[in-house]
This record gives sequence, structure tokens and C-alpha cells, in this order.
Amino acid sequence: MLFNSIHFMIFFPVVVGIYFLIPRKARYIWLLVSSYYFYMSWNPEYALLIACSTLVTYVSGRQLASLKKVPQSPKTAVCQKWVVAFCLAVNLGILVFFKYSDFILNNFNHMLGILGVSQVRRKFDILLPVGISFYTFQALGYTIDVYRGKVEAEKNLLRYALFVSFFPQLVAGPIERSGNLIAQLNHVEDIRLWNYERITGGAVLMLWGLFQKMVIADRAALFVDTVYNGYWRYGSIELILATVLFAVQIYCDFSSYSLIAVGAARVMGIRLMENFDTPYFARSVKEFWRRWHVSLSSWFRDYLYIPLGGSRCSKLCCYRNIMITFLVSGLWHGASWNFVVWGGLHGAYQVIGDRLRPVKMRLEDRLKIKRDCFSYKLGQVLTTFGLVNVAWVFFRAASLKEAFFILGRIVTGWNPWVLSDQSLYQLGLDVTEVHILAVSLLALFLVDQMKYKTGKTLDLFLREQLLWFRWLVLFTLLFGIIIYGIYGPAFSAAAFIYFQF
Amino acid sequence: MIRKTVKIIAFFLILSVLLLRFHQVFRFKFNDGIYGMEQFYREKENSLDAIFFGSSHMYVNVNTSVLWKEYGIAGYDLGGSEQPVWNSYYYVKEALKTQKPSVLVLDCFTACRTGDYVDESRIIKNTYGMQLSRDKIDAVNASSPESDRIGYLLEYPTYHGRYGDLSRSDYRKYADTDFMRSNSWKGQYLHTSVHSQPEPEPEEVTETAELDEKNEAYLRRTIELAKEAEVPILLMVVPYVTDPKETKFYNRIAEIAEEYGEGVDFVNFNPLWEEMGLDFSVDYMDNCHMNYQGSEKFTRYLAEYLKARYELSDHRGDSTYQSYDTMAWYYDRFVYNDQIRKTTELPDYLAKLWIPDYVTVFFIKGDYKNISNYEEVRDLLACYGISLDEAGGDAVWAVQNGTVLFSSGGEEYCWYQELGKYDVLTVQSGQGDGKNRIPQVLLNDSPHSAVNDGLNILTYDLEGESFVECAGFAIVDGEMEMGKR
Repeated sequence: MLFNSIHFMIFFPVVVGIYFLIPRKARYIWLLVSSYYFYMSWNPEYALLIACSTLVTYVSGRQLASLKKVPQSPKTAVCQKWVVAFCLAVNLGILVFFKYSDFILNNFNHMLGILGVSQVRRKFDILLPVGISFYTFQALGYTIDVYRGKVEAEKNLLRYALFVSFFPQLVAGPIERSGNLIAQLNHVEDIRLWNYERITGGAVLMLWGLFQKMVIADRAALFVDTVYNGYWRYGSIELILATVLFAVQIYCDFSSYSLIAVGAARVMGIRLMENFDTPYFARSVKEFWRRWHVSLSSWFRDYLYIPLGGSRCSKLCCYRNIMITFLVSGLWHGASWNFVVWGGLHGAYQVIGDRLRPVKMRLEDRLKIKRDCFSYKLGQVLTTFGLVNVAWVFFRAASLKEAFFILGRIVTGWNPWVLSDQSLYQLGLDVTEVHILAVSLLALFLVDQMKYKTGKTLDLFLREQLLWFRWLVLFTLLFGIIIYGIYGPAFSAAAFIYFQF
Repeated sequence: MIRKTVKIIAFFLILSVLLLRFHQVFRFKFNDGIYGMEQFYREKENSLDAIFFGSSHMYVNVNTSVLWKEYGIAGYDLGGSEQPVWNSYYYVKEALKTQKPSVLVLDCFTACRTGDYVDESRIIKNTYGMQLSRDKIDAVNASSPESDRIGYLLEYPTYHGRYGDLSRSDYRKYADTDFMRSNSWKGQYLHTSVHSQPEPEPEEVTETAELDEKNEAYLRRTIELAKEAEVPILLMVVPYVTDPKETKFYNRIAEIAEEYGEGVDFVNFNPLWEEMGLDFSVDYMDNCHMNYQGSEKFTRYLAEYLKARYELSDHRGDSTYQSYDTMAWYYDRFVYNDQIRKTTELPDYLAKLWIPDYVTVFFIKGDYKNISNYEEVRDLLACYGISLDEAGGDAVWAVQNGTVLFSSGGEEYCWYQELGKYDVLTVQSGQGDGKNRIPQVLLNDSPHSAVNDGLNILTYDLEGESFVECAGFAIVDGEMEMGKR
């Protein structure tokens, strides 16, 4: 059940309506049932996996809690580590089996092929369960937090199961921290039924999310798909435009999912963490990762980068830690070398950037370049955006070979005439569609600019405005989605890109 | 709390109004399926004598105007483009809720088809006209694959993407659009063009062929529905350029009809075309559809058959059937306008325009003063109060009912008249003197001109609120042609 499907438009109001009507003590059970229904609407069998992951992490948490109660000794410390290791092994084992077995097998076969040995064939197909990377990481985060003593182990299995499966953020995040979400789910009975600001604020976020997904992301995808699916036919301009539009598409696609998740949870009185903070206004790749998919990058920071030693070690170790973190992050995004290269590039940008910083500063000082002016900052933003886009080529292309071809063609296939011969309008977006996309992007830019400057999200900004303006914006968004959204029998609801991760 | 409640109510009220307007503008306005069904709900209860269900073979070929004008039969073509049998079934079901006709007539053309679903546009055309009810939901379920049903039921997911195709007529009141005003009454859909078709070869086909399972099931359900309602049903095939393979299916339908006995008839009118006086060289606009002249011939034959077999009374003169009289008036006007278009000789053409509720714009261009038949043309136009002798250079006159409303050469160089609710006629005589003047005639924003050198005549039917045509009589080799270009 996609957020932009008619099914969700029916499911969500029904869930919320019943949530507020039933006895307060039954709320979490209702949310759990709804969440499992939501998840099972993709494939009922997937529920077994999430239940298994829930059970293993729940028992591990309880086990860790009981080990913490006994007097601490080296033996109990080892026992705790074994519990965590077991939990990690089971959960990561499931993840690796469902997500990476094809990748591992293909690479293994490739090596066997080099050695001239016959290839290994699997006798069954594996379907990647939706959102497995998200809920696995969320559940593992909980186990590690219990181990570290950051949170108490949850006693109520059903409440814990709700933490792992809470439907707004189940399949594409934000990857919530146990400290934040479990605490709120434990007090779900205390949430007031009627809170005008909360409900309208949540609804505005959902609306803005749907606009980003259905009007911008899915429209940009028409151009991106046309060009990337026939990349060999196009020159620099088309490929650059397609890559930039892919940057827009993936941002709007993913950010919209998070916005709808945050908004839906807000309507029910639960606050989820913010997942995107105007990433394309970042002035360095490092800053980009503080703004892009915040819940994942902070997860890697807390549970991988820092345990590896973080930056509190030699420069070399620090660079190694950055590279490991980003390579793993790349692999988390997909079982393909493209994603590994994509992650590696982001790691490399940061390592190289750090190495070059003194040289760059000296050069700027010598050339007397002013750093505190708009154009300098704009240059940084554009440079960062450019670097991120180069990496997006690896993310979007179907293979490494294709990605290198596209990058090569961008450099060598200069064809400025397509800017004036109208051929760009033949690539999935005609003149009307381009106008709609341009106006929508302007709206996106204004909302993000406001967020960047003032820190206010759209719901907070609208709350401060006069009624006529507030309603004007709401009706514009609503009818923007209804009229210009990409949906209907001709286009079956397009899945969110991040579902595959 | 009260303030917030009021705000919420106001918000949803405004939203409802905007959604309604969105629906009015964006929804599909197909006359070959949706409009006929929507208008059907306006018919008085139990007022119809014969209802014709099925594909375009019915609503193009069965001429309800002729049925009324010549036989007093209140007929209604309740069809849809390529209407599958399952949609006919739901249309019959919907019709029987308010009507108890003397006969139901079902087209058998699409019963020969195979496949469980038709294309998207046909699903839309055969379901969107129905009002929301359990039957509409069932009709959508029967018409579309499960994954798409909710989209078809809510409708807007299918039409929201029309933003690139919206035209002026989408913003008008539905019934006021050009086509609805001039061409669509009691479900019929008339054509004027002529495309010669090969005459069907006389061929005796006695074999039968099994119908597609879904088609047969719905055909039987339709028959049973009619029997339950105690209304006779006629299954028929309208003459067209038939494939002998299809005749085998029709033979099977005849067998099915026979199974049900009294009250269920089947007629394949295909072999009877000569008896009807149909001429395949002039009465058809393609291999399946007659033009209105052909439909008149076929409908007369059909009416005789229906009158002989079913209890059909003559309602002419009955004031409750005023809408049928209106239809007859529009139909006559439709035919007259078509005759104008088909008249080629200038004297005859001008004679046809001589009726009060037409606005006619004459504009003449080129070296018309020196044509060899100048006097003949001058005298012909003089009947309309136009003086060619006084004109200089390119000239223009707007005329209604023998009165010149506007002519070039005066102080005003631009004149306009609102025509009906939506159209504006603009006549510009051109600025400057003599030969520098370039007259222009615009209907709404579109300039009209048939010939560059010669006489142009633009005609607008005020009563029918429709543009007739812009005809041109060219000057060739120093002479104005009397035949229309």
C-alpha cells in the first residue's frame, strides 16, 4: 500500500478515526494491527520476517536487561556481547540472505568464471521484502541502545512490535531511535483526541509530501527514465539535465515519503525525527550528509563510524573510518557495485576535501578571495551539488559500465543545439509538462529556502499566516496534486524509489 | 472550539464547491456514450416506447428523429462506443428502473467480439454516464480489471490528466457545447459525410459459431432481465459491410433467442438492405455507419417492423412529448444546414440562405469589378441589399434577414455581434483606403476565408446556435465561378 495510492487515502482516515474512537488502552494494539495490515498488503508472507526480527530483538533486549541486573563481571560482559552478536547475526543474516544473496552469488560466479570453474545456480527466487533494511536497522539500533544502557528494554512485546512496525515509517523510514519512539508509544494512551494545530500541521506535511512525490518526483521521472533508458542516444545536455532531474526526483521521492510519514504520525500524536533538511543547499559533501537521510546517516555515525573510532584517532584511521562507513552505506542502498561506488565516491569526496582544505585556504588567501559573500557560498553550494550529481549517475545507472559511459558522454558529447531545436520536449515531458515542472520546482525552492533560512517547515510557516493565505496555499497544493499529480489507471501508482533499499 | 469548527466546515464547503467545478470542467464529455446516458435520466418516467441499446450501430443508424416525426414513436438510443454486451446489460437494467417501454432493442454487433475487457476509452464511455448506484459499481467491476476498478469508479483518476486538452467547450455548460446543441438528441449521433462502400455480396451462411463465454452470459442475462420485466426484446443486426464470419455468430444468437421463445426476437437486417432502399454508394460514412440519409431509410424500415410486431402508439400532438418536437425541429435544421453545405451553385446557395434566423457575412476580394460575369454576381447579391457598384477594393457586408447590419467603407472599420451564449462574430473591413483594405471575418478568434480571390460567404445559424460554413466562390481567369470551392 503506497502512500500515494487510493488505498492509503481510505486506510489512513479509517485507522485514525478508529484510533481516536476506541478505548485509549487499546490504541497501541490497534496501531499494531493496522501496521501489520499495512505491511501485509504488499505480501502477507513478509509479516513472518518482521515478526521474526521483532522477536529476536525483543528477546535479546530482555536478555540484556536481565544480564544487566546481575552483578557485573567479565563473564556477564562477555554474555552481553554474545547476545548482541547473536542478535546482529540473525538480523543481518536475514538481511543478507534476502537482499545480498544474488549479489554475492553473482560475484562468486564471476570469480569462478575467471578461474574457469562452472557456476553455481540457485534453484529458487528470492523476493526482496519491502523496507527490510529500514526495520532491521531500527531493531538493531534498539538492541545496541539497550546494550549500551541508553534505553530500558521494553517489557511489553506488543508495544515493542509496534515500535518495529509502526506503519508510517515502516517501509522507508525515518529509521527511528528507540529512545524517541518507544517512549512515545508507551504513552500513546495520553494523546489528546482533538488538537487542531497538531492534526492540521500533520495534514499539511502529508499534503506537501504528496505534492513532492506526485507532481514533482514522478513528473521528473518521465524525463529521467526516457534518457537513462536510452542513454546511448543522447548527448551532454540531455544527460546533464536527466542527472540533475534525477537529483530532484530522488530528493522529492524520498523526502516526500518522510514528510508523509512524519505528517501521518503527527496526526496520531507521535513525533518522528526529521529526515531531510534542505540537502541541496549544503556547502560541502560533509554538510550534505548532515542534511540528507538524517536518520540513516546518524545511525551509521552512532553505530558504525564512532565504534570504529570516529575522528578521535589518527588522520589515516579517520579516513579509513569514513571510507568504511560510506562503502557500507552504499551497500545498504542496494546490492550492486554501483551503490558501493556511489558510497565510495561520497567517502572519497570527504577525504579528498579534507586533504585539500589547507591548500584551498592558502590559495584563496593568496588570491584574496572573499569568503563571506553570497557568490562564494553559492559557488560552494553549486560545487557540492555538482559532486553529488556525479555520484547520482552511479546511483541511477543500471551498471558501472553504463555509469562510466554516461560520464564520458557528458564530457565528450557536447550538443548545445538541443537547447533550441525543441527536441528536449520529446523526452517524456512536453511543453505543458515542462511548465508544470518548472512552477512546481519554484515552489519547492521557495519552501526549502524558507526552511534553510528560518528553520521553519511549511506547517509552521502556514500556522503564522492569515487564513486566506493559508487556505490559498492548501487549496493550491490539493488541486495541484489532484490535477497535475501523476496517477490513475494510465499510470499505476509509482513506487517510491527508496522502497528497494 | 466553535471558531475552529466553523473554519473546518467552511474549508470543506469551499473544497466541495471547487471539487464540483473541477469535475464539471475536467470530466469526459463524450457524446458517443456518456452524454446519451446522462440525458436519459431526464426523460419522464414511463414515457419511452422503444429503447435501443448497444454500439454505434444503434445510435448512429437508428434515427430517433425519424421515428418521432414519421411514426410518433418515442425512441431513445441508449448506447455507447463499441458497447460490450455486459455494458448493454447494465444499461438495460438502469433503463428499466424508470421506463417500461413497448420494446427493448439490443444490438448484436459486439456480441461477436472476444476478450473480457475493452480499451480504456470504451470502459469510460460505457460506464461514466451512469449515476452512482450498486449497478454502476457492478458495471465498472464487469468492465475493468480489478486493479483499475477504483480509478474508474472514482472517475477523477482517469480525467484529471486532461489539463493539457481542455478547450473552451469544457468550461461551458455541458448541454451547450457545439456538438450537444446541434447533433445529439435522444441519444442519436448523426453523420453527414458520404463514403461509398462495397455492396455486401449475397452469401448464405448457415453455420454457427460459439460466442465468447462472457458475451453469451451477459446476453442471456439481458434477455432474462427483459423477460422478468415483461418487456419484449428484439436482438438485431443493422446492415453494414459484414464479414461472413460474423454471420455465424449472429446465427448462434438467433438460436439463443429461439430458446427463450415468445417475447424474444432476433432479426439480422443485413440481407434486407435492398428492400430498405439502402444505397451503399451514398448512404454510408464508413463500413459500419450510415450517414443521416441512410439512417432515415433504415429507420423507416425498422419502424414499420416494430409497429407491426409490438404495441407502439403514436404520441405526436401529445404535449408531454414536447422534447421530441424540439428534437424534430433541431433535426430539420440540421438537415437544412447540411443541404446548404451540399449546395454548390451560387444562385441556389444564396436562395437557401434567405431565411430569417441566419447571420451571413459576404466578403469579396480581388479584382471582382473586372470579372466577365460582374453583372450577374452584382444582381444576385443585390437581393441581400448589397451594392457591389458602391464597393471599392476588398469589401465586406454582414446581413441578417435582408438587412445589412454592417458594411465596409463606412467610418467604423470593425463590427461584432454576439451569437447565442458563447460565440462572437467579428467583421473587420480593414484600415486604409481602396486596395489597401484587407477585410477579415472571425468567428470567436478564428479567421475564416475560403478563397483569396473571389466571394466568401460565412453563415451562422442563430436559432440552432451553430456555425454552418464559410463557402468560397473563386475568381478564375477573369470570371467568378458559380460552383462552390
